[in-house]
Amino acid sequence: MRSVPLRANLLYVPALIIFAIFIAYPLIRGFGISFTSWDGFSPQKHFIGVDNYLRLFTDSTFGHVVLNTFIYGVGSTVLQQVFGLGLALILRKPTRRSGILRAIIYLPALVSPVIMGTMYYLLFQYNDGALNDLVGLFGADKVAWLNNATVAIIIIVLVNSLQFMGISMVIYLAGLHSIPAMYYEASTLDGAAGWKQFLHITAPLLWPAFTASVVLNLINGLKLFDVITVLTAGGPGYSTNSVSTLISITYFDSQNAGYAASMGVVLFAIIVVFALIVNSSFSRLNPEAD
Amino acid sequence: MPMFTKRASKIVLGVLIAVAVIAQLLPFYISLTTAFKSRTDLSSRLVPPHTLYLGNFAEAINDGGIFRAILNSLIVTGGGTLLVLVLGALAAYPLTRLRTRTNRIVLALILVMMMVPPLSILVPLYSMLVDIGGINTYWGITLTLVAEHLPLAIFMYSAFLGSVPYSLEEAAALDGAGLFRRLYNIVFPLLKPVTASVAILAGVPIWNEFALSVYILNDQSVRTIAPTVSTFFSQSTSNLGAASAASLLAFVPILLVYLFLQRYFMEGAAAGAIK
Amino acid sequence: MKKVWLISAAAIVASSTLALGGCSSGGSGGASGGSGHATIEVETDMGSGTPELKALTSIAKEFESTHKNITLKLVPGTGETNYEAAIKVRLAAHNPPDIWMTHGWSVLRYGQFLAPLQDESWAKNLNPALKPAMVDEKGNLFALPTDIDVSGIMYNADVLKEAGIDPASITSWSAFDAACAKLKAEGISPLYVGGKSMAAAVADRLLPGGFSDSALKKMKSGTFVAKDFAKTLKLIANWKQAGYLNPDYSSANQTTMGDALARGQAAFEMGPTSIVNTAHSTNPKAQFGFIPIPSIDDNDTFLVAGERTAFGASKTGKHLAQAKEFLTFLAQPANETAMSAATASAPGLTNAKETKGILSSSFATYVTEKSTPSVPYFDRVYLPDGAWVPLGNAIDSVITGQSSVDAATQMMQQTYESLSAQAKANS
Repeated sequence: MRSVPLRANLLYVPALIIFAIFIAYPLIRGFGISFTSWDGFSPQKHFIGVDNYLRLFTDSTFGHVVLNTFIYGVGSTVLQQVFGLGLALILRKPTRRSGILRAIIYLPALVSPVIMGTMYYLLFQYNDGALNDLVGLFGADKVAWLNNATVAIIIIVLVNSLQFMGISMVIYLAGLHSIPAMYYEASTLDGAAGWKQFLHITAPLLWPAFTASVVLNLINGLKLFDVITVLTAGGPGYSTNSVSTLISITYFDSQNAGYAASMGVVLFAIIVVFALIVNSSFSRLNPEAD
Repeated sequence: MPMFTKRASKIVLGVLIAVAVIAQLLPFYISLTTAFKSRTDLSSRLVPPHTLYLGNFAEAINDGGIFRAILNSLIVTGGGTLLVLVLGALAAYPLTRLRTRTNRIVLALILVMMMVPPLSILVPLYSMLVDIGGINTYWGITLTLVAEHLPLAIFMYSAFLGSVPYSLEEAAALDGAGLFRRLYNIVFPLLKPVTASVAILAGVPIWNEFALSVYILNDQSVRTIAPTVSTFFSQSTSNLGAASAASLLAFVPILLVYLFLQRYFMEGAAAGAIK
Repeated sequence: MKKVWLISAAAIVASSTLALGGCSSGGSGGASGGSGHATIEVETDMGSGTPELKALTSIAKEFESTHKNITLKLVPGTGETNYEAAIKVRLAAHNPPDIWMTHGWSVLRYGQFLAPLQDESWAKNLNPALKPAMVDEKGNLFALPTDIDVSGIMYNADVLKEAGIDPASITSWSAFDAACAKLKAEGISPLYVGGKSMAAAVADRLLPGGFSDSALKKMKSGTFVAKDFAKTLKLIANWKQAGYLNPDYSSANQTTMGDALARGQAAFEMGPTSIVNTAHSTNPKAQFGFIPIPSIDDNDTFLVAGERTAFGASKTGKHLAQAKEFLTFLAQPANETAMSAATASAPGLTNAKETKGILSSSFATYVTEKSTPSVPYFDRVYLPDGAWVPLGNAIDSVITGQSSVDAATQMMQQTYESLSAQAKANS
């Protein structure tokens, strides 16, 4: 019935070629490295089969770091939805003031995460950190914010969420604007208000925006790298590493590229499985569907 | 009583917004005070500088070559964003309008491309770029970053196109318009509203990219902003003042572009969510 | 709406034509030779605007003015930890720079990629203190050192003076501990360590004092001496327990070390002497010095000396002859003097002049007058390549209380053994 010719499929071929050359091919080569004991720079590469993968299962550091990665991924996703949706609801009216406020909320998302991380390092630093200067004004002792693993992990999640909550806010604003005003008018006539209105009208209609925002934040959160490197470099010990930062340390510093490559494969698998599960279960949960 | 609760909730909301605004502006404030103080100024980062010290900006410009870096970033981001928009719109069309089994799989695979950790491809990618002569070239870094951000564009364009009724095109099809005519006259104009959003969401990460460009762009004449700012951090010492000054200078162009596109950004994203 | 579309399209087209123009003019990069002209890429880990990069830049300009057929392209380092990764990625892709800084690894890590330089005219002037670390068993020298990193325990002289501590009196660890107790009572971090990157550097300076000569021989031939290794960890664990270490240990780095020393928030530090340069640039009024490091068992003291700023040339470089030519130029006494002055340390060649720097008086006392013996960096000689990070982690786990001294020693032993096996398999 539809008259879109099959040859229209040629239109995605250029994109596929670029993916094949610049992502898929290097990815497969990287997969190959994971079966070697390569040091990452010497010409010698020794094939060692699946040893690296077997080692991952018994490596308690890796297990711990995978857990951290989930905390970073899920933690920032949750915070970004809460902040993003909250701000979108507060700033939904298109006034001049809310326009300015939206722009301010969005500003950090325009900055490179390495640079933003550095500015936050200057905030949380022990000596001369801005926050400790404030603490000092109240006569209290300086706090070593980044030296307690739990506190440092919370700070990392918070910094990442604050930087990118503007993007979630915009996605939700878009969703809110697409809800026809008459829905609200009708429900107000029915006597529904506030929370009830949100639950029955806003939330269901926001579901597509919600799914998109969650999946995007999750992918980026699970890949988190720059902020951690700048704030704690994975320390104290290995306690604040994500899989990405551990890969970097293992690849370049410990000179165990083969092992690092196997971590990369596992991280990729984790992201794919997790994101696809979330995506499909959210689509199934969609209150709007049928 | 309702009057009171309304007022109270207004105050609470106001406080929440104020906290959010302060939190978002604080890093910029710290970078400003750091950029305008000399290295020997030991005052707190919260205290504004006594005098506006401009030495850090001179270092950012002369030693760091930040203007050249900004130009390089404009070139890479301009070219990269254009490619992402064009290739993304082209790819989204068949993937939305021809929902065959193969195309569903292709779309899923494209989304999977978004999930590849940059470090997993770094070394093989670099080696390949060496082999094809793409190191220290604009095209090498641009195509790499296009590959990285194209999935998002395809994702957004196809979500948007999926919400646009096919009937608009049908009329043209009945008139006997060819595929390219239809794309050019009907589909692309339809995509306009969401294009500002795609440009910002894909363009800003290209502007800020560090993880791969720090390796691929080694030559100062092609180096972009983030790797250039990082030259103020070395193994032995960090020049925070110059790094802050360079970051601030590099922030100006992206801020201007954002402010210019902001209106269409919101509008477009809104259009994108109509189902 | 229409207008916006037009404007952005125009902007994009304009920038992409710029991009194309850039491709044809700026493209290719690297070592494109032909007709006798050579471009030599010199990759360094020096930050933009640092005195050492400025010194190198002006030497390079001078070289270019007398060697019209050679262009030098200096590349500054990117980031605290990125330099090594950058070099490794380039080596993996068989695309190394013509010349790169070896920062202590000219033999162990980069030796197989570098051209031997022992037959160059300047090689006979190599500072003898650098020989153990920079000349391999076969007599190969792979890099030109422009300075030598002689270091002990660095201190802020003003802080010690105020606390009534005479640094010269600290010749044993018990004297050091007594000084630390005094400083701690004054609210100063007695010993400040940047755990982000400098834990292994501290170990490198303490370990030689814990090993007997026979144990060192064993370490060199592939047997790990756990008993002697544990002594250093115990020393550090005791400092931690007594509260002599800085509370921000794990988030501090080399720059914060410099700042803390400059501002008198810290009294003692161990690491490369470039930390004192950072401290001096932050607080030019403060006085700094260093004392030799005590041994753990007896009353000897020693200094640690090793390769820092050194330049090797890729043995596969298209323009190796021209690269060597530049190294020879760099090795001229005047240039060597200028480079070592920029890092405020002693020159790496004996025919260069020592410039009076921030640490001159300590240098005069302990190196020139008392001729304190100097030992090489421990890990370069007695540990296999790749042990630097695990070594830092061992220190880290003891300081942060994640493992006991025994557990950390055991961890290190395992690493030592597996890396030694890996090195054997590769050679």
